[in-house]
Amino acid sequence: MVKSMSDDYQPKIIALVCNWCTYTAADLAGTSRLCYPSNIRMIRMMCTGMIDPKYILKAFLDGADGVFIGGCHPGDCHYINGNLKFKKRMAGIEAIISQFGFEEDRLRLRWIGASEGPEFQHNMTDFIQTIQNMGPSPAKGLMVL
Amino acid sequence: MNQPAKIVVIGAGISGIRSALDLAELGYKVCLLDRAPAMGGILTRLDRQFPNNHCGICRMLPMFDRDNSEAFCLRKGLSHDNIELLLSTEVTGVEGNPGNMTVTMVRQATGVDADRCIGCRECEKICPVEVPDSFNAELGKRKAIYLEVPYQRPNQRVIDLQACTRCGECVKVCPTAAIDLDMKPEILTFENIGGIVLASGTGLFNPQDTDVYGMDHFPNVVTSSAFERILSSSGPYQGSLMRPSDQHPPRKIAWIQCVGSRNPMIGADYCSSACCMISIKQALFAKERLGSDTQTTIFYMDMRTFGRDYQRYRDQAEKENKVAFVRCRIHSIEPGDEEGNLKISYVDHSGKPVNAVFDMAVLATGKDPLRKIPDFAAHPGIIATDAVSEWMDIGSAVVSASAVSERLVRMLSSAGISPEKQAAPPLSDKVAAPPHLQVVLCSCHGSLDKVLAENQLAAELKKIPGRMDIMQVKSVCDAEGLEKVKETLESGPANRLLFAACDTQVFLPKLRQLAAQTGIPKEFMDVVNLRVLAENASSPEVLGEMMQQLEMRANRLFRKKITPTDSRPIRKTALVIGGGPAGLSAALALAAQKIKVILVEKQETIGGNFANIYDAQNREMIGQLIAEAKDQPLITIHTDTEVINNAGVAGQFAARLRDKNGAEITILHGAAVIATGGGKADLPADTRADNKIISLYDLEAELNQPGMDAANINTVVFMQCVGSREEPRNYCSRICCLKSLKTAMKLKELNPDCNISIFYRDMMTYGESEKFYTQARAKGIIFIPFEKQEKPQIKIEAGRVLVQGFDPVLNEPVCLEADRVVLASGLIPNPVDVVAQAFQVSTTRDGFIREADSKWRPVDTGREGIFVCGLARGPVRADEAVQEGKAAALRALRILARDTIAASRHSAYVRHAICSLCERCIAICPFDARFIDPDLGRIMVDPVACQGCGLCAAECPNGATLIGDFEEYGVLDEIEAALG
Repeated sequence: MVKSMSDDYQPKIIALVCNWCTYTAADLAGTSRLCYPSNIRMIRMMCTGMIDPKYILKAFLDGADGVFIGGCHPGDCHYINGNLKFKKRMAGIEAIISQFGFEEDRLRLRWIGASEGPEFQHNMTDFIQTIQNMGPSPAKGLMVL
Repeated sequence: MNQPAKIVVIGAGISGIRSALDLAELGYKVCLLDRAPAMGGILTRLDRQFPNNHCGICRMLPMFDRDNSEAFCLRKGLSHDNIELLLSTEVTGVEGNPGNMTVTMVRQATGVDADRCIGCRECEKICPVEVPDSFNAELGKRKAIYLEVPYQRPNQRVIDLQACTRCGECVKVCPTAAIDLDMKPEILTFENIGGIVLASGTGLFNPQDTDVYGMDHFPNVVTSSAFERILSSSGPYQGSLMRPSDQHPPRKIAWIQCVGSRNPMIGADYCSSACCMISIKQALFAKERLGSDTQTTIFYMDMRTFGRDYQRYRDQAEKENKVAFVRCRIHSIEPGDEEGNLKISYVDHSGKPVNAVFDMAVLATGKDPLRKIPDFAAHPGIIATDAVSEWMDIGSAVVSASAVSERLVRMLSSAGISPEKQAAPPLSDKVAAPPHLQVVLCSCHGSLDKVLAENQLAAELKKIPGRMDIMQVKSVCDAEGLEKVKETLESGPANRLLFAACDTQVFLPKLRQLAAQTGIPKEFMDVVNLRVLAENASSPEVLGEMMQQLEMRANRLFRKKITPTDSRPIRKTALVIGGGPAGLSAALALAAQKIKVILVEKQETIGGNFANIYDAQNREMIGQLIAEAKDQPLITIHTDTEVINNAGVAGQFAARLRDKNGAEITILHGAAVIATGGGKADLPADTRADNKIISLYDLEAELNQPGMDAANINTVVFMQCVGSREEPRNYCSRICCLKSLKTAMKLKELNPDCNISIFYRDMMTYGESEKFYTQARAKGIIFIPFEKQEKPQIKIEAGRVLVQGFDPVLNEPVCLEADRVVLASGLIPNPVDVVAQAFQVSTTRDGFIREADSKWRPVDTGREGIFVCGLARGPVRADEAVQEGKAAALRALRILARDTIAASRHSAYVRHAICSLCERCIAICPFDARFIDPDLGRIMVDPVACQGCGLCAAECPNGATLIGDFEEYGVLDEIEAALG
């Protein structure tokens, strides 16, 4: 279920989620009427392992204040271990985005299983809170937009 | 006679889904029905499964030809072009003969028209009636109009007409007039049914029926299925492990095994096979959730950890996680001193009575002894899965379901029925033309008119760059509305379609229907849930949000292209390695479908352990397999031969065979079944001190000699688990307990005065074989349990052989002088190094071939086109090996039954012009789907093995690899739109 935040600052969040587990959890959060902030744009990926680092960089350069990645728990991946292979890439991606001036905390990876609707809601709310505390992305200041 | 055949699968649980998918993948049309208003059975209620504590339900879905089905978590349901799903439906009658049956069913009134319901849940919000939630083991509440399974897609509600008060509030709020409180059950008649799979399950024992252990009085006594729900995030407590009475986290939890099982008093003279492992798993999760200091105690009679990796799972739970195991059948549960606590009295290992207090008790329930197999089950043409008569773990149920599919396919082909040849619907010519998007705004029976008009959505949409037509319809739920869309697509120039309507999943069947009718692939169609956005119509951002969502989807659609699809011819020959029961049954199953089989056997004769098998039933079964294989002209048998190499991809393999003289030949095949088997383990060297000490196999052979006189065998001591279930061979060999029981009873038959004692660790008489254990005790055979660290000792004193142990029933040491000491030495796999190397499949530490997934893909290996069955995979009985052989054959048949296999649209493809041949994609591919073609100097993608996971695309430094439907430019555009 989608609801609007009352705060003035509305961060823009891109969530890249795995089709199998996290997307199911997001769906479940929807059917169970678990509210999470509406300023999250969810993009379904087949697997976190399919997330090209350039998607994340693109999101930040286009003005995203945060990027959330949701995948299956280790061992649950439909493609055996795509989630773990993405995790291996995380350090490199964090290094790249910080070179562009974006704080590492603006990128978050979490494992959320298919039945974990409440965890999905909790993670979304928590991430939005973190980004709100951090303030807008430095993208504008860096004049990359 | 070659007619289109439809198959009815009764029961849409794990077995039913497996069987329906097997048949659908072979091209048969399947009607899958379930009496519940949701599919999935127990599958939807399980979060994680032993022995790895992971979930892998989705791995049951088709691996290739994926365009026929939807790719999403199976908890949501199953969507396949060849499967028609009928829920709330039961079979009432069956007539006719295999090949041409008539099935009568009744579809219960659900009060909701599934074609009109859009899952908006307005009805559920307003419904005033609350009843216990059956999905959550009645620990929570649900409304009278409800969704059976919260994940369920499409999420169409049903009415519990028994609870409904007919107040009519839901009828008033339904925006699509989908509710009819006077709906009547409907009789459905299906004619021309080829065969029926019965997969209705065994039901679960309900301890409340007989009030075992005070389920009715103590809220903190729950069944294991209720505990599973308590652990689940989608459960009554959102995944917080709490006890029902006061919703506090329990500190001490007891599991009581065999509730409703192994109890002849209630007609339950069977073991439910999976409960022991379920309880261990639940204890481990309790510790994970509540901390390692949580006390977990499992009260059991025998811990039946008979699966290949189960003993190590138990050992780890006991040693590392400190789960306590107490061998004691609990008499009753009494109230504890404090509110909600429970007192359990038992006798501990040293024989002392103990009164322990627990916060919570879990009853490990299994098969329901009251569940009757339907009367029509015996009708010819109906084949039942084992899970109809036995409660079993998922891996066994999946094997059994595929074996049943194989039997059904064999039945149909002998009746001259083959699946319809299916050709993908031809693509419309205009698909290749430049993108032209048709947007359909659905006003949902006028209820969204205001939002659409106020926001001038149509005008706003026009601002999105790209060629676009926009139309508004009153409802796409109605046939009329959908027809209008279809006509527009057929007559107009559009080759992409975007619905602005409601729930995406509700639309899936509609999209598939439109795709089939218009020749526009369904990947070129998408849905934005406008309804859910319009619910927030008062918010000023609603227009922005609607537009953003529409633009995101539109951008993706504009960027979609037809993925180039390679198609590969299939070599319709199978290679079967191993001529034991598993290999023979696989070979015969394949030959029955006109597949040529090359059967390679290392020994000089086929039959595997046939010479050592004395059980009459097994001998007859294997003897028949040997005779049939020798007679089958499609099977070529190479004895004294090994496979030393195998290369290629599924459908097109080449294998190198070498005979004992060193002569080598190359054969071409499309799929291989590894059934290299295993055999008896030798007795440990230190036990060969006296010829009275023999192996179980030796005694069995001795007793089966013609004219055997057992009169002078007066005292026999059996000892189980010799060398098994402890490192380095820490697995249960699965056959020994039953073999010891049968041999002991045979001895009793030959010499009724013979005194027989059996020292055992845990009697592994799972399933129906429990009856032999009951019979053996009735015949006066003495059973004495021992623990691994306190094994009975064999002493030889002046020619006498003595066995010294400890009898916990007498609570004192025992010393038995024996005429025979019979040691159950267990099973070991045949060496698989060569074959594993040749086929590049992985092995377990015990030398078995490892399957892709022990639960959901038990006979697949990690490589598509290579399958494994029988003793090569893990210890099995001969009858189980035959089942596995059939299941493996059926998996191979998915490939071999086709002439060609084309890549699914959602697969990887390579833009060779910008590929630098760095081969990083080959290294990262989890399915070994990529290889370099040395002749072309190009990276190739195996369309059968590729699953479209996209790891290669993300890894490619040049963007040379793309994934159909997830091309990077499409995703980048979507991101841009999302942030626009």
